[in-house]
Amino acid sequence: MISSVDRSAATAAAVDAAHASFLVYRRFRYLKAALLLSLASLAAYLVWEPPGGHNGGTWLGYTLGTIGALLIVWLMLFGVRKRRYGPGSWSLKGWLSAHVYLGLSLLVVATLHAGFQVGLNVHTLAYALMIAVILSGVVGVVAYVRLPRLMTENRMGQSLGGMALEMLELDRQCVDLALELSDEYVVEVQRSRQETRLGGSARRQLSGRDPKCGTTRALANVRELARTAPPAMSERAAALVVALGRKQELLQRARRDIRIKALMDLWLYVHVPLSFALLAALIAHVVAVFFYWG
Amino acid sequence: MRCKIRYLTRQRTGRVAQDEQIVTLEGNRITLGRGTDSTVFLRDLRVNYHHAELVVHDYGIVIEAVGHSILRIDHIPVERAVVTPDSEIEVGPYRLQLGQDEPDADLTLAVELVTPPPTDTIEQLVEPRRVLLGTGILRKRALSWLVFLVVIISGLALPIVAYRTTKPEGAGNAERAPFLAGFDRFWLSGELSTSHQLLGDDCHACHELPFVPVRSEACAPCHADTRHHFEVARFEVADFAPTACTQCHSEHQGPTGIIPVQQSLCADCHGDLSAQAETGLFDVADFGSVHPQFRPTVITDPAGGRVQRVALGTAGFPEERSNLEFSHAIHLTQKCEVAGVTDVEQLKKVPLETLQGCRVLQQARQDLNQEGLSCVDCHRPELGGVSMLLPRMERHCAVCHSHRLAFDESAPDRVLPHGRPDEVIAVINDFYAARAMQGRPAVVVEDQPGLRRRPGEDAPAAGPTGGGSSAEQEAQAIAARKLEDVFGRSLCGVCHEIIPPAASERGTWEVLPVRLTPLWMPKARFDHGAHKTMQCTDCHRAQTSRTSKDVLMPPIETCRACHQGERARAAVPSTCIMCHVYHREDLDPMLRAPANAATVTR
Repeated sequence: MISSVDRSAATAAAVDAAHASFLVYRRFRYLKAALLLSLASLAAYLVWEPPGGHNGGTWLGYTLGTIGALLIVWLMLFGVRKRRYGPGSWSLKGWLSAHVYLGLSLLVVATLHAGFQVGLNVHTLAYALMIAVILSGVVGVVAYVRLPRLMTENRMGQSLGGMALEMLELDRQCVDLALELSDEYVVEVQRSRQETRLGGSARRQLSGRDPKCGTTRALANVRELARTAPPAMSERAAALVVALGRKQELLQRARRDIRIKALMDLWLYVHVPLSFALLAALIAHVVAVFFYWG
Repeated sequence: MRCKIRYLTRQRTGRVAQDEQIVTLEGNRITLGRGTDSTVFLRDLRVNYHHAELVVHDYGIVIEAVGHSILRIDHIPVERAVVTPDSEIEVGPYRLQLGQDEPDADLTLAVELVTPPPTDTIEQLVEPRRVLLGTGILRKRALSWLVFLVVIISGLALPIVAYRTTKPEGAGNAERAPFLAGFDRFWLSGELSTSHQLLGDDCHACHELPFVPVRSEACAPCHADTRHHFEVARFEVADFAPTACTQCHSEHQGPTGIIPVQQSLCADCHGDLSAQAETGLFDVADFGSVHPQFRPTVITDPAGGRVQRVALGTAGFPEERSNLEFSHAIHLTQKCEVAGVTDVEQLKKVPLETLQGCRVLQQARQDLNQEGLSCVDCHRPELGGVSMLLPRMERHCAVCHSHRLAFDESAPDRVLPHGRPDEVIAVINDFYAARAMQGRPAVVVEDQPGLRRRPGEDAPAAGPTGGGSSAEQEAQAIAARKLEDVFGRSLCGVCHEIIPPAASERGTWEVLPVRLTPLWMPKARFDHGAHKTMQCTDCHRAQTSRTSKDVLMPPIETCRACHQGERARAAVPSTCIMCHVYHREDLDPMLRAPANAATVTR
């Protein structure tokens, strides 16, 4: 039976563990595993000198190649695992931690497997693709470590949906205000409502801006109108300026949010397709090696 | 003017609720619009602030659009129209209808919002599709499929098609579509070794069947004569198939990769061979550290053909018996130190060896027009540059020594034939017999103990022999003494081992055949050509060798000054096959030649 102090300590530890980054998961368990694998491969490579020099066709080459190929297949299963919800026997964070560290250890395993031999062939294609996949993965790790904080700071406690809801509410306010304002205002309010879009092309998302944003133009025009508004309307016009201003600020944050999310996704558009290219090259490599065996 | 305005609201159940307003106006105009000052207040952004006016005239009711407001009567856009209770008036999203005349109002108007304002949705602002980076072909899944298929087709399918469509027709004749040939090369893990490049694109030459490792039989058409390394019937080596070529030779490792050079390949067995098997071989693991001292094969009994192999530098190292006497030291003299000697008495005190060296220098200047002799004057490399040719009397010694084979100063042009002792005997006998018949006095060579006459030197003073015998007998005696002199001392005996008639089975003068050693280390291959930049005497201590009994083979330490084992840093890393061969010519072939070898041998 555990005491309440123990229990609270255990709970705190569990909370800490839940908040710890995938990089430090279980006190770097998979970093240690990856280092162990790399060092063991390196030691075997240095200790044993095969006749004819190191290459994929020696017993060490076949061993490292088998380890590498199984690792690649297993690393690719991460894509399956992360689509399956629920804790499973291994947590997703554990998977990610292992995915990152063991993926990095492939750099050592596969390089030693090849014995530093390169050429213009399907074998080196597989190697080059693997390097590209790992490098894009490193970009992803950096993105996952740095960008979420920027995203949190930018969101200021609001989700993108929350921002959108607030913008709808502002639209409603603008409509209410405009109902009793002259038609020029209505044109601008409608412009803000109908010509404001979030997202768009990849380029637009990554830029975090929209030069044709209806709200920006509407705000500028309404400001201009409000300056010369008749006294009966001036109060409402000013309120409309405030509402559109708030909407524009929200839009900027939302676009920044989309930009950060796009940056966090961008590397995956390299990482995932190249992983599949790698899988194809790996199959071709293995078949080629045993097709022309000897 | 009194107006009755009914705002109708159609509820979901279909029931229509109505909110009636009665407005009393000055004048005959009813204003419609979003503006709060409008008579008919239409609260919707789709309606202009001042949208339209209804004007009650005597002749009827007219509706007029204000400004550019859009107005539809019976679905037709108009700016101004006369309306009746039958007219359907559309103002923005509203439908208006004049009512029938009612007693308590000048005008009745029903107003209904028929098109409610669209509710703004999040989707309108931010469609999920618009915040995805990749769409269409640029989706991750589509991209993944695309690149997967491109790689699998070009990297797997097309090379297999290339293999299937190739007709093996022998070296360099493999035929395939040029388009496919490139894909076949896509699988090539490395360039062929230089010697196998004659196979061209004919992958089938070695790779007979897919998914079957290359068999040694595939090597047999060309390499049927390749020999074993050891007697396979006598020794069995664990984990070693003596006929598996690919165990040591891996192809596609670049131009020189086919011949493995690692010393571990040899040291695996030879490192502790003495513990494994009775071979009589020394253990060797590394040239720099674990390699026995050289044991040159020295001829110790040229007649019996016996040789000895003793490590250099050990006590009891044998003298080489080549049946030839030769002093390298004398022939390599570089400086004559008795230049100032003028009279015979002084000359007699000069050591014989120095005198001889001086003569070599003198002769070299005279005959060869050079300052002195060097190694290459007698030792020339064979054509391939690896080994050295043995010096030949006719080609090398004779340059200086041929005219020293004269035997009688009265006939300096008569020289004895070299290498044919029987002819020498015949020449001398004939010469003196002829001279006796011509009645010319014979010349007698006086013995001068302690000073051997050298070829070409002036003969000591000679006088006529005593009379009493017949000329023929006298000539025979002179010839016999001449033979003794020529064979024993002055000519042949200077360099050769001589058997005098008394010791000879044939009862005549004999010269023992010269047995020079062509290779002191027949199991190793030393490339003299690769050492051209060095001086011969850097390794062979010839300057100080006064007798040909010396074996001028340098010890292993001399080699190690430059050559060390595989892991050498500040020396030439030298592995076993730099000097030794694996496939021994004296053993059986490893492979069985195929029956149709003649047709496939390239």
